[in-house]
Amino acid sequence: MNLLREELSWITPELCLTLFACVALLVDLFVQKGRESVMVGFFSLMGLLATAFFLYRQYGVTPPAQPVFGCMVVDPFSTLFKLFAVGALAFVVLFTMLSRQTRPDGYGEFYFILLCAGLGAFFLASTYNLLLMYLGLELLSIASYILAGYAKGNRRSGEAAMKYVIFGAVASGVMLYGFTLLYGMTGSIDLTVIGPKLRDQFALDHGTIPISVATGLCLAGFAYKISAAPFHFWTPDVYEGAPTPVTTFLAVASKGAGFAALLRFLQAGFIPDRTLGGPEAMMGYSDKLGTLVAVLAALTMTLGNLAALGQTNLKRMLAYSSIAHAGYVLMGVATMNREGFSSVLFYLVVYYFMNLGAFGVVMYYANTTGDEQIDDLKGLGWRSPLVAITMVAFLVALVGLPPTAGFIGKWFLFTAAVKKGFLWLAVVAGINSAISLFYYFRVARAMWLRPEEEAKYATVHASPAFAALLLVLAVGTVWFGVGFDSLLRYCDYSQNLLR
Amino acid sequence: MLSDYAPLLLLLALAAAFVVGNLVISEVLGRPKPGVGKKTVYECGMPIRGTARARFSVHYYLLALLFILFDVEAAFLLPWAAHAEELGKAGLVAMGGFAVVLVVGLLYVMRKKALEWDR
Amino acid sequence: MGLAGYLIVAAILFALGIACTVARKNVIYVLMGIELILNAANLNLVAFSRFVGGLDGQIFAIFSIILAAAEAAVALAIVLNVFGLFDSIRPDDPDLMKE
Repeated sequence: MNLLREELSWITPELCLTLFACVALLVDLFVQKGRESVMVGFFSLMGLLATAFFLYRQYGVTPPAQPVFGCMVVDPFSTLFKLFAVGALAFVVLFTMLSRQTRPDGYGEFYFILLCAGLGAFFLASTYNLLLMYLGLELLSIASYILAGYAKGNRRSGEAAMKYVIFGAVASGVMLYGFTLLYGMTGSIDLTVIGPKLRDQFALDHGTIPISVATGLCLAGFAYKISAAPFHFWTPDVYEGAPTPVTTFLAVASKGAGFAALLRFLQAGFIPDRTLGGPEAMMGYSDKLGTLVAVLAALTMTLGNLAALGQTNLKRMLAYSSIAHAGYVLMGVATMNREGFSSVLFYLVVYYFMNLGAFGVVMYYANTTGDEQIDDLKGLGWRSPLVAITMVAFLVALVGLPPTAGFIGKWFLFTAAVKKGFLWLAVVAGINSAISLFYYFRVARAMWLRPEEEAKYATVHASPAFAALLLVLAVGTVWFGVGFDSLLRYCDYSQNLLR
Repeated sequence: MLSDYAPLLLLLALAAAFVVGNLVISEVLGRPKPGVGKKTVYECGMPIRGTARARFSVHYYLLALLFILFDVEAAFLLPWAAHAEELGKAGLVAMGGFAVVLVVGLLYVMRKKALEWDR
Repeated sequence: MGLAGYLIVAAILFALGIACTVARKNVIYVLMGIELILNAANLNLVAFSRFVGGLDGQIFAIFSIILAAAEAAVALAIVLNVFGLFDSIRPDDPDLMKE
């Protein structure tokens, strides 16, 4: 019983989130109609705050890797991603409360499902166990399907949910099949056991075809979750059709959790311990896998950027941009070494700030105009300068120009790739960044153009709460571009997978 | 290895041949004489009304979905029940937590009046 | 009769499932294809559990069955909603957002 309590104490954040999710559902049920949305929203925020508190307390005392119940692991890496998820959820909850698109009644359960999705992200970030990884992925995915279609009666939202559920279910099914093959080859569902067993199999030299098939099937699932090519087709439609807060959640929290699981999967299963050395075949396989990811990265960013060029809808453009960013981050994954993984963490944190901000502006804009067309942005800079200025900061960061955090993040990714010998990949990424300048610039230009008909939209000032949120994100985006030392150290410390 | 299944395949083939053969023979030899007597319900059952392709109320789907969900959740209880003694208190606590979450779900369903059939 | 038989059946199921989902005639077909994929994985799990060892596979299979049910429930609800909005359950019919 003491042992149980000891282990339970390590998953306090998860327990806290579960508890708050359940109580949020009950609050929604038993509170007088018409007021439940706001109440449950505030209640969820409280829950997220409490969870963040437990995570923070855990952070100080986390050992290198604390196993829990034999299927979870609590380490700085997982804590970073959990904090990431909690922060993103908090912003999404706030956005939901402020968005006009999601303001009508009946949004009590929305928060409950959001918290459940967050729980899925938690599991995804802190496990080496294939079963729990699959469970976490499904919890996150199923909740996301519901969220994408939450705007009932909205045809776009319905279409988005259907496309998402079809694509997602197939991808996760394929991944499950890959997991079963890994289990069959090694007799274990624990990646820390699977890794050494695979090493033995490589030593026997049976050829790499079965392992390649299994890995490929598993990677399909991860690629879907992070919307990397060739499994990115769902992204534009779902991002455009889903309510904007949900899109924000998908672009930030869901993608981050996917990357966490992908990093763990590759590290435990397929990167041989360089100090111990491994059989020649495994070293070769690991390098080949890295090259495969590098090719996927190049493909993903190119497809995303080229498609983004012709978009007229701001949300859809940001969807393609988020595909492109998945490509940039994959660049760090492809290195399969310590430096690359650290740069991935750094970039994800940076991406968190700039993408939350950009989608926040989209939401503000849709609140005032009811639409998301880039052309209609005309004159936003004169109507609400604060929002436009923060948007410019986010756009500059998304392009990856100094003095924003986007520049520093990309810098680390590029150096990691070049050091590993992927010079060609860095060149492709550089060209892509140049391409991306065009479509981001178009948005910035539209905002500062004088509109022909001045009074098309009445001036709507951002509410103080909303302006504060955007300012926090913009300050973060710029701040980490200048004083990035502490964040870099933090990411390096949290990247405890590869030393 | 797979050849072990040859008898089974043969059996399947024979069964299929028997069924198809009988159908063909009755089609060829038989003289169908339909009549009112032949078409009525024989000895039991109710007189037929309407088509079988009627639409169900959407409540039926809701109820069926909920039934399946709670039904499958019960699958978790079985392994625990089989080893309840060895798992001891820890197992009881874990399953208690599981049950509480399920009850929250059930409460939700009831409060939303999803179980009221004749609404 | 060994492991290979089960694996072959599972692989065939998996291929059928994939074929079913890419045919995209009707969303219900697609959902059935997804069930086939998941059941192929379940068959693999149980067979490996029996022949390679460990109970992990069976536990995994239980969880995966339950997740399949949950996913099917959500997917059907979404499809019902789409049917209400578009009067069609062909996966290609709703295309409000194509460029």
